[in-house]
Amino acid sequence: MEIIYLHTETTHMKITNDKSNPIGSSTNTSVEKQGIKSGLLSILFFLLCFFSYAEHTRLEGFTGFQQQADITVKGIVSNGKGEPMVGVSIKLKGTNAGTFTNESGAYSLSVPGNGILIFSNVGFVTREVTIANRIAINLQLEVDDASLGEVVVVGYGTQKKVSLTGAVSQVKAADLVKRTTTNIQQALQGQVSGVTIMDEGAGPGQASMVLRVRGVTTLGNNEALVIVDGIEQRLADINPNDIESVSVLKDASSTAIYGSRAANGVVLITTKRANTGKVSVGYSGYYGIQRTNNNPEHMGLEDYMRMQNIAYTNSFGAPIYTEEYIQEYLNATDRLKYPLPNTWYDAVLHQAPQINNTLVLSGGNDVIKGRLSLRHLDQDGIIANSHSKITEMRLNTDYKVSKKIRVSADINYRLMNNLSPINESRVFERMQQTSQWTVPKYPDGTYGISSDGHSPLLYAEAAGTITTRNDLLMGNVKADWEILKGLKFSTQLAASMTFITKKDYNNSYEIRDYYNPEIITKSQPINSMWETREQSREYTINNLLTYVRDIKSHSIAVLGGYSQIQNTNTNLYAYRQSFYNNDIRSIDAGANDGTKNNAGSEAGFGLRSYFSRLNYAFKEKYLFEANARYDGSSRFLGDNRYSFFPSFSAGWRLSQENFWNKGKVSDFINELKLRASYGKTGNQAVGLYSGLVTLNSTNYSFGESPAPGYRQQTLANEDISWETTTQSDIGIDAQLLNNRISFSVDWYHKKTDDILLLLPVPGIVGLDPSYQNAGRMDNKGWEFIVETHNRIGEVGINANVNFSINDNLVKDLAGTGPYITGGLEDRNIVGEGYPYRGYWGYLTDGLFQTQEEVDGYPNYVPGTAPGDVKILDLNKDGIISPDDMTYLGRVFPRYTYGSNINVTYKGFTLNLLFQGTGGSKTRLGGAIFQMGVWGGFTHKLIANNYWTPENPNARFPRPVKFDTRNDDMIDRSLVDASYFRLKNIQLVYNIPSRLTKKIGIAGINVYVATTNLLTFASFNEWNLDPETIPGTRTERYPQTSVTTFGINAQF
Amino acid sequence: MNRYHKFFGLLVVTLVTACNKELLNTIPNDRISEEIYWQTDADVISGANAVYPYLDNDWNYVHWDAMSDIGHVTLTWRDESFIEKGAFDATLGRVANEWNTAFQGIQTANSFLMNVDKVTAKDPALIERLKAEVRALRGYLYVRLATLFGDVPLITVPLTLEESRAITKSPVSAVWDFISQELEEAAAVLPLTQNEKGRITKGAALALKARSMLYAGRYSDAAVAAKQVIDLNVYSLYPSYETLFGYAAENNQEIILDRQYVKDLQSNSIFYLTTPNSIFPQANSFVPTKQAVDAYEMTNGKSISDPSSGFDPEDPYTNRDPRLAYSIFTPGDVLPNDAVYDSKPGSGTADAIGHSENATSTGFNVRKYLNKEDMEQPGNGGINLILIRYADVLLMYAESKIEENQMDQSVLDAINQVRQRPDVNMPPITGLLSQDEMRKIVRNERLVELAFEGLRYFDIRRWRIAETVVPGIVYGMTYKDAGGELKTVAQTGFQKVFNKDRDYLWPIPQRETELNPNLSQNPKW
Repeated sequence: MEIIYLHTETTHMKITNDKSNPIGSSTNTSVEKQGIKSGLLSILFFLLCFFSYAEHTRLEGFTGFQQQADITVKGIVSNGKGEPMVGVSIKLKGTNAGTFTNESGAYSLSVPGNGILIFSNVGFVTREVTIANRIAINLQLEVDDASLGEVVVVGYGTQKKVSLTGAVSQVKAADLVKRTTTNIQQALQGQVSGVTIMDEGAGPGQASMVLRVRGVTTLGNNEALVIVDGIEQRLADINPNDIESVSVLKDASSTAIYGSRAANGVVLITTKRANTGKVSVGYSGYYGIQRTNNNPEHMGLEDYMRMQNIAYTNSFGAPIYTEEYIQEYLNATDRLKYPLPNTWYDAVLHQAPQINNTLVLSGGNDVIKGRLSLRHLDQDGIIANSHSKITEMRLNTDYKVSKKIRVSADINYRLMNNLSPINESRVFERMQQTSQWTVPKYPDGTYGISSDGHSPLLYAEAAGTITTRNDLLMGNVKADWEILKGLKFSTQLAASMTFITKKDYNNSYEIRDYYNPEIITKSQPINSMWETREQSREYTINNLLTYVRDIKSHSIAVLGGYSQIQNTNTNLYAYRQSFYNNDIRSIDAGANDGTKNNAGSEAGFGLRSYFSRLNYAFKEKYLFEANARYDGSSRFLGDNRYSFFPSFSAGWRLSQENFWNKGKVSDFINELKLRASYGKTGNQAVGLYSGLVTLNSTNYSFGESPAPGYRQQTLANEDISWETTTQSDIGIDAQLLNNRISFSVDWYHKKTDDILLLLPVPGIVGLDPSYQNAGRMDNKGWEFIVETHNRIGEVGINANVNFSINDNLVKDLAGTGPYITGGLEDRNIVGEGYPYRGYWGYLTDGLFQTQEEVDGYPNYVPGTAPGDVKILDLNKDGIISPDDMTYLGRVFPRYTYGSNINVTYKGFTLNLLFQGTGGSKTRLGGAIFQMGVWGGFTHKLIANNYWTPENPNARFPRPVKFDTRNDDMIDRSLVDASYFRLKNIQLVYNIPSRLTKKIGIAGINVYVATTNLLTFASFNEWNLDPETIPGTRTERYPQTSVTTFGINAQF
Repeated sequence: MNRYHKFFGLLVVTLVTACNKELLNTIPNDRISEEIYWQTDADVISGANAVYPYLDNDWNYVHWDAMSDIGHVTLTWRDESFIEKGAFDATLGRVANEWNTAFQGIQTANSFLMNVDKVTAKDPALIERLKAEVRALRGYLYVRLATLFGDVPLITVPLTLEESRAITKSPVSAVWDFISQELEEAAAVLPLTQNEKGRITKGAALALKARSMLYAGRYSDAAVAAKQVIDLNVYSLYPSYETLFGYAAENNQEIILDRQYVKDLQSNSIFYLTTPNSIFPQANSFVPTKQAVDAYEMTNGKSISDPSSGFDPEDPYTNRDPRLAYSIFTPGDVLPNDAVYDSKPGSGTADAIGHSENATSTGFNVRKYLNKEDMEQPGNGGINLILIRYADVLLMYAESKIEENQMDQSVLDAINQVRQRPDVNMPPITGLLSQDEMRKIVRNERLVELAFEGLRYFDIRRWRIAETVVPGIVYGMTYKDAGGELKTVAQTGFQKVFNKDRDYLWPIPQRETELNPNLSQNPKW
């Protein structure tokens, strides 16, 4: 909080005193320096700790290491069939020294005679061989069945991957921390098939990410359920460094155990726990620089003035600038008096640093062990007053109470301090809209105010701030009791508390004209503050009874469980104004008069669930699973309160059959499984208390006195109940070429029924609609994953590719609709037979070329002229009306794909993450598409490419002033949103341990990484990021690209 | 080991008993449920209060005339601009909004009237008075519906969803009958004055009846109702037209019904909506047109189009009806921020035509309600917006008598009273002229007296003159250009359109006809 106050002070000073800033320079240096300083300080602190530790261990290292003369060891490595193996890694244990086998399987290595050699290759069991002064060591490597023993986290437990019958994707810790991200959604992007993640930008600490599992399931809430170590949590609240694994449950078989909240998929996160052994200390840190990805280029001065003249002539019959004025302006050198049209991008945006430090202590013995992680993230934003700091701690502990009882207790505290300008979107909006010809800042620090009264720079720097302090505390106690062999009872109690303190502070200010200080160009005479306190508590209880037993060839696992969640939240808001100055920010210091105001709300919900699962396997060949959950929710009334969600699945491991292993095919395909599942899940995403008739307060006044009133505002629907999603899934999992390649395909069909819809009601009923169970939506799709591990000489290549297709269709809206939302510029349709929220608008057929053509065709607006967009009269009824609108394309991507490529060579590792989407469109809206209609940002692309009688083949229509006829919701405003990008590139160097050992460091690597380095998209010509949400995309906090330098060390 | 088991057993018991029987019965305690309401007199008061916010708000108020011949909507993408251009249809937001808001108000009133008798009142007279207020307010909403949409469903009790999907329209004449009767019955109960300023009075109910009967073309009923208001002897003209729309004049003797506002508590943005661009940029919503300015006579009582009027095109704003300067900023006027209004193209001020999208496109700005007190916080104004005032009643009386062809001295007196307000002081109309000429006089008087008070839009529609006065491009000020030539501003790229076969009624909102097949669409929509 100190930094925030300090910053406010400096901004305040800037308004009144600061005369030293040159034009348009970014003035956020105070915060930058502060951020960097505290970052550097903390690095220094860590290093001091480590060096003192190193000091202690160094002596041991020296005395414990005995040098011995080297000998040369040679040999040949072969596989189980006696064939030579290429690219097997041979390393001297405890060092980085090593080599690989050549084409004939031979190797040669110079090593100490008393050393140990490690032979390893992907898909084979790693072997350690004591050299014992031998000079020839030949070896056969066995195929590693352990990769088939891989365990996957599923709902309320784990399962061996080979016996899994549902569609579950798992991502391991190592793949999540390669990309410098501040949240886990970004880290997952491109890594999981069937999961579409869109990065919509936003300021530090407020990342706006959309995560959809297998498409858009419903019309309302589509957020996947996120469970961290058994407890529901927000994805954004988890430290990526603490994550051991992420499982995404996609089909009904795997999700049904979560019943009423599982329709949108389930993301299960397991956090890291300690291993037994000496306490190890790990440090990782990075320093990153963020740059904006949206850097549109403004039209040149002369091009812009001439286009404006044409626009004015088209609307008012006369140009606005005389030729003399244009020449005067072009030849002027004093750009304070003759400012360029739009220089906001340079003035407002700047590169921003971010620093992340993580320290992990981990270790313990058989009885007690613990893992403590500390993290500090300091992220600056690309505009002034934009900052986020996260400080967090997680302690995961395990206790062996007795042979049969184990207890674990975890605690996670997280403090997030965010700073953003008050009304942040206004900053970006005004860089685009109607702020031409303004000097961002004069030499004496005075803000230039646009002719229509705006300055995005002022809005960012001095209009006020929102400071948010978000405390999150999670406590989680779990106990396991092995009652009998195979029978286990497990209970868990967790509490999660959020406490948010927020101050929305509007500064008072007064900006005077640079040339004539008598004139006030902009003022906000009264400062004011809304202070918010939000408190939320959630208690979860999970009780599980599991029984596992193998009888001869039969394996049985049974699970029964009970779970309940109780949530309450209370909010309190207080308002005052007229504070002594902008730095006084305590509610009590504001005027204690009629202007003060307050508000508050309270709400709560409960969820009670019973669930069970049965697994049966015969000879690990035929696999069956059944799940059931019975869920009750406080959101519904009476008989609708409880609902039942069952699922079934089965698998067949063909590769376990005798006939399979008799054939040659088994040499090629060593593992093959077919699986299928079917089941139901629910969605309870409906507003609280929807079933009750309540009265809302209204305000009026008589004379000077308030006259409060009450009226029913919303229809109540007592019959409201769950949405039900029925999903079928068929999948194939295969391992090829001795597990060198793994392959997986899934086909699914997801039907959501009884979708909670705010079905419109006739206006004459006089009440707002309430949710009703109606409507049905379908999602069908395919998912492919290929993963391969290869080695060519000393180069190791691991690669995976995932690809998903999702087809979404609104099937039924209970005979109502279509619902068309939005207006002139932005229009979407939710209608039977269309993908959810598809674009809806007019088709066009080029531009009108002649007056005859205009006269002979229905016009969209009176006064249409040549050069205007020709909107198609689709139904040929002689008028352009909404009946001529049609479906223009999907908003949500149809194809989502990603590829992770990892190349290692000696100590170097190069990681490339490619990612992309396809099959959707995006709408270009706001100033950037409007060609200077309102005097806003005008893209360079339009220069000399708009219709005039002399330039009839131009791409863009004729410019008009103060008139949007040519940029309403038409096909021309839609751009193909497909993109393919190098999302992340990371180069890591492992410093040889023989060097680091000397200073007591067990292992250390350094890396450099960059996100969004390369993008292929038809959107590139607008210099905008293709991932942003459609519409006035340039008026939002943009995505950034981050270049990071990082270090990971293990002590 | 045993003690561990006991410890563990205890833990289990604790966890299991944590189960809360009421877990799923969450009752909101931040809102009021219907079951506990309708018990006390206070419930009746707040139930009635909830209908008042349905009186025209600031946004609606200023935009009616913006869509008429005397106004022009500044931003062409606004719904109101599409109505002005005649380029709208049944899906337009403003159309649905008028319909929905009116029926919301009617639902609130109907629900009040249905439930109010559940209360055993401590003060039965209070209940009767509030019932009358609510019925009058419901009448006000039906006047709006009948004028805009013609035949509409006439609903007097709360509807169920099923009923609302099947109800049919009532002929507009039945709606007018209903309004007439309701207002008359309400007036019989309502007091002459109310302790709380802004509540519906007897006068307000009768004046509203006069207005509705005038809109319905029932001139004799209108004349009777207007005369009843006059004979109440409660109302008289406020002596100063110039300050009538200022804070000092709130609740004065001329006000019959207004929408009440209080700064900070219940504020409006009228300053923001009408301000010249130079005072608050990017705020203005509409500007007066040349037709508005030209309607003001010379101080000698002659129209500027009369060659003998003495009108000087080079000095067009002197010797004009003082109400011009009180109502409209013309070039050379002093603005509330003490700057001089200079809207000439290229003048260099933020008011110059073409300066930016919210700068005036005609060279004029509205002055009514632009009070200096609101300059600091243009979005936090407390000025009441007048819905019916005595001058309106006088002109309604005159108009209905003229239409009835019962012109007598009382008609001239009514008009002249308005013309001769002390700070207006226009020459009186003398001698009774033909019905046609009198009609012309009273109509022009209504234009200049009531300009930008949300009445012109309805006047030109009921007079069936919209088709002639609206269409065409928007004209503005006349000024001398660099060459000394007189030039009249014309927004050539903008066309006002009015389709006489269609636009006298608004379309029934598309969604209504879709959800209720029994609601037929208005002709040609």
